[in-house]
Amino acid sequence: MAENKSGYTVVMPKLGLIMTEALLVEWRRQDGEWIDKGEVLFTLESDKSTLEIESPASGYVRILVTAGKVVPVQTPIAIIESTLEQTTSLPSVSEVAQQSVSLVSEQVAVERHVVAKDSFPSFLAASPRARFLARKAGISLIGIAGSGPRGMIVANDFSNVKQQWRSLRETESKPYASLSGLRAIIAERLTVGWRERPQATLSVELDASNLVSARQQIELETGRKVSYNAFLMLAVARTFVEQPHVNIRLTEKGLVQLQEINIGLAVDTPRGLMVPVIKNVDKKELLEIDQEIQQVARRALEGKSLPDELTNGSFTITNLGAYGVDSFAPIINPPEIGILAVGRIAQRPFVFNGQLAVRETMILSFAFDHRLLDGAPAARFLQRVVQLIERPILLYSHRFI
Amino acid sequence: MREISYSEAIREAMCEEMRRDPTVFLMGEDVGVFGGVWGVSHDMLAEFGEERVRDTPISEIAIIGAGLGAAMMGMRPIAEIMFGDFLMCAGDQIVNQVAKARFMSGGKAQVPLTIRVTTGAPGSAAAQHSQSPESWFMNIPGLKIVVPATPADAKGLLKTAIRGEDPVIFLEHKMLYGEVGPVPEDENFVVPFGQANIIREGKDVTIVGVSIMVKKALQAADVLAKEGIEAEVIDVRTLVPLDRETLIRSVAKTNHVIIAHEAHKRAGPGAEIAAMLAEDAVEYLDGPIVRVAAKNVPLPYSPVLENYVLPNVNDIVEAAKSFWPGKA
Repeated sequence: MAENKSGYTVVMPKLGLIMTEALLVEWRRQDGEWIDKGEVLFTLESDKSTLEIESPASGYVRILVTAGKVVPVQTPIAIIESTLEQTTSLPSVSEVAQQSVSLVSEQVAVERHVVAKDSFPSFLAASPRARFLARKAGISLIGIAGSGPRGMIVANDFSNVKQQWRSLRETESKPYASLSGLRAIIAERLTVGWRERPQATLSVELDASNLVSARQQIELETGRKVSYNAFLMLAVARTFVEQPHVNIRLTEKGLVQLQEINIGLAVDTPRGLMVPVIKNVDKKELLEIDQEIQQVARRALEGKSLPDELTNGSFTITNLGAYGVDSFAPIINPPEIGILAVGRIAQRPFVFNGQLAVRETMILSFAFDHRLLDGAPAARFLQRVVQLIERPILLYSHRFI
Repeated sequence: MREISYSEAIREAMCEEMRRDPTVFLMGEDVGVFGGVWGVSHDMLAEFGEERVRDTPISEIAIIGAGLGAAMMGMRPIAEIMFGDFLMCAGDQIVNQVAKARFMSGGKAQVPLTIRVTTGAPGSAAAQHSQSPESWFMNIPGLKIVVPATPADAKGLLKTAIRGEDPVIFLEHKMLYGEVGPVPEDENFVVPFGQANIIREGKDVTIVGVSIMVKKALQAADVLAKEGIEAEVIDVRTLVPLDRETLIRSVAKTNHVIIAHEAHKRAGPGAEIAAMLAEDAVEYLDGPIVRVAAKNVPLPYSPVLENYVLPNVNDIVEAAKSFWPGKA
């Protein structure tokens, strides 16, 4: 945010290492409305996380970019002015975009102007009650005629309008709606992922009996039910350590060898699919990973993911076992190299020690970017993951031997 | 229930407490032989004698200072100041000594001192004998401020004041002395501090009354009812401590509030109540917080001017109607 003669320029902030753009979801102030420093000015959605951004200064809000657009970071989106008078000489959006703007928010307060009542043309006179109800209902009070003292909008005026809107909506229900918010982001990413990546999928059924047993043993020892996802994450991380050539990413500038082993987990939230990422999985213990999964998943469910938590993954694990799915072919989460789809663990007929037996088995499907990985190395990768899951003691062996 | 006047109720509270506790005594200007300039303590001298119903010199600072000393030495004095307007003569004793003794002694000194004082305009008593000094002392921590509006509350609140361990300024409205109402005869009937009384329930507007304005608020509520506005009338009873919860609960229900007191509007008790509601209940307010109070001028002698300056029933009615300007 930067100060210039006409006030503070608010830019789309860059909140994550690889964040390039964000959806401007909603303005919390109308054009020309007053905002105090520190109050929420707008919300944005990037990398599947919704964030509230506070105003860096007090003043009248001059909106440059309307809500609902995807905006590159650093682009000016609003100006916070100390007075309302300068509305005529505003630079156009493109002009403002040319200016260099600073991200650092400067701590200079803008004095609130003391002005006579008459020069508050756009001030919205409404009772606290009416404002409270409107905020709760997510409806703007602008344009509602006030019947209260000094012409202020009171609760009753607001209720009447709400009633009218409701009946209006009932008569004009539209057959089509456009994708919005998180849904639009998911659609965009999946389309890109599918179009740009020739992906292939390998599947294998494995004997998960030892995994089930290992989990039970840990529960006996610690009282904690470690999620299977934590085991899978650890197995994938170990495989990456042993086969670092798979931990790569193709960017516009070329191929990058990733230094960290960061693995995402697909989480179904009320708002849609989110993929929180656990960083440096190879350097963590099982219980630590399990706990971290719980934390990031909870934040994802509540829509409170930290900005960096949703970016910079090497790989994603997606598990539909809880829904009784046996196996499925996943789509890669760009720009990652691969994704592991995990089916349910179930008792199935399985050849064990040369005999047909009933064993706890699981089907893993590994989808990978075929541009970067041939079939054989991909199979080697999956084979090692399978070994580590079938013999989970190996997940620990390197720490003891 | 038996009905007696506000004045009789106060006398009854004093007599009952003096009979049950020998440390309780009354002192003040003309409280003995003359029976009190408002007649509240009539015939008490005959029952309790000169030791316990003491006429004092005309020195408010001496009355309060002596009361403080007696209270710290284990007595429970009732010190009467004839007019609230004269409290300032005892200002240093009240503000710097009485209110602070408990705190500056590290809690060792108790000050069970009840300062009975008249408040309000009795009609053409002019600027020096008509004031409502409640809020002058609301800014002094250590003092409780009691404003009874009915005969029963006058008795019950005064007994709580006398039995308590802290100094109380007990404000008796001169125009309420003749007010008659039911008063329990039970000598252990007390009304606790910090509990406002919802005298009339309503859903449209809360009228918070202080002292005599409770009575006027009830009259206003009758008028408003005929116009389809249901007012809830609350008697605060005590300004310190203030019953925030009852007030907030009521405002949450009605979304509109009027605060009525006879003290001057500027920095009167209503200012504190309004500020509290603005801080703690703003989301319930569907209009401005309105104060109905005396205009900010010294109270005039002329009845015409005095009536103009003092708040009345119609002012409350008009204030309530102002929330719905569209209604005829």
